[in-house]
Amino acid sequence: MFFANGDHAVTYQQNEVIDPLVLKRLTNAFNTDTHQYLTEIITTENTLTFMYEPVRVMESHDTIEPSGLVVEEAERFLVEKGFLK
Amino acid sequence: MSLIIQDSGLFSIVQSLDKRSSPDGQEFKGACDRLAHQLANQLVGNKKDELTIEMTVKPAVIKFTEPTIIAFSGAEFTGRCNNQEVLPNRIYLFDRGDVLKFVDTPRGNRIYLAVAGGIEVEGSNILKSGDEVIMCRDYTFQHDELFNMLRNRNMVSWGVDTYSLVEIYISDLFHVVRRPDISDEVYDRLESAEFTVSKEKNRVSLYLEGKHLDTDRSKVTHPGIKGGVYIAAGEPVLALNDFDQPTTAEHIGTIPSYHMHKLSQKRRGSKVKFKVIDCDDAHANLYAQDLWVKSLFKAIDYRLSKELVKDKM
Repeated sequence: MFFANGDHAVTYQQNEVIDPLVLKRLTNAFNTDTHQYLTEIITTENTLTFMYEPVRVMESHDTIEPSGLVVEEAERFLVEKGFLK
Repeated sequence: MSLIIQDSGLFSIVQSLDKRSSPDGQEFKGACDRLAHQLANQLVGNKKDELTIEMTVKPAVIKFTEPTIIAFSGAEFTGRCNNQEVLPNRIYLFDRGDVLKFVDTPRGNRIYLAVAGGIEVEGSNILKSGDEVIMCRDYTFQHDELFNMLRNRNMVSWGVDTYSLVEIYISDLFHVVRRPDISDEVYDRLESAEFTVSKEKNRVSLYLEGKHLDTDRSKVTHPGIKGGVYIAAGEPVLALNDFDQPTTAEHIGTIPSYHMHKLSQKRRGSKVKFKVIDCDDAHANLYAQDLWVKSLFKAIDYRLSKELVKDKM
């Protein structure tokens, strides 16, 4: 499940515990890749939270509803890394 | 030369605008009240992300060792220096040997003191009595003009009035961005109650007491995120900047960034109410506030440049 975690973050959450090695791999991949809007990843054993600067997204896309674009980018990242299908 | 912290007050820290890493083990986790941090810098002609001194509840006593231009923003503390009243959101020049003290206020929690030309610290950025804060003296042409103008009278005759900031600070109502997996019953109970701040774990969290809130236990470990509203033992706990550890306390939503300025000014005994909104509404409000802040900063720039031109004539 993805949801808007306030106005600066989107969070992916699952009930099953995520393997710590997978969390480490995703964090390393996030920190080495470049991203359009995502600025930081915060992980727990059940969640992956992606931070972003909403005003930057709003001004780039001339929209006041930026979270859909950010969720798309986060999903794309997780699919590319083989975490989501 | 530097600023000397004669008395560090309750909790004073040299703080950055945004979270940033420091090789020296300093804790730059960002200003709790980002607006006040930026406003103080804007007034003294600094870049908005220059370091400021964040002071909580009982501000520090500061001695100046050379001519220094300062402004402070945030809570409604009043300072005194050489029998002169020193007000928030105004620009002052102090001289070598001057000592700035603050009078307690019943309203607000934090102030941010900016120094023209910037500041830095060696070692810990948490200030202790006797510490020195280094002045960077990264002066621009505008700073030089400000120094010239303030030599005749040590303050600028205008400032940002309290009523300009009323919309930002004077309200006990806080938006919470809803989560899709939290029931309407929980949000109804949250909205129908008035809570009181029972304590603050400094820069980490605000503890509220009021109506007991029962939530279904999800067994999920949630991220600690600024603005997060968590339920621990039936009471809301609100995350501030330094709440960055995972938690099993139930997360029911997050306060948007545009309400974090006033949240960081709440202290023990302050009242807090909640209104649950959707993320799209939060973004619309955020954008409106962003435009307002930009126009406020442009107005300060305009007023300051007009004053400097008038002084030259």
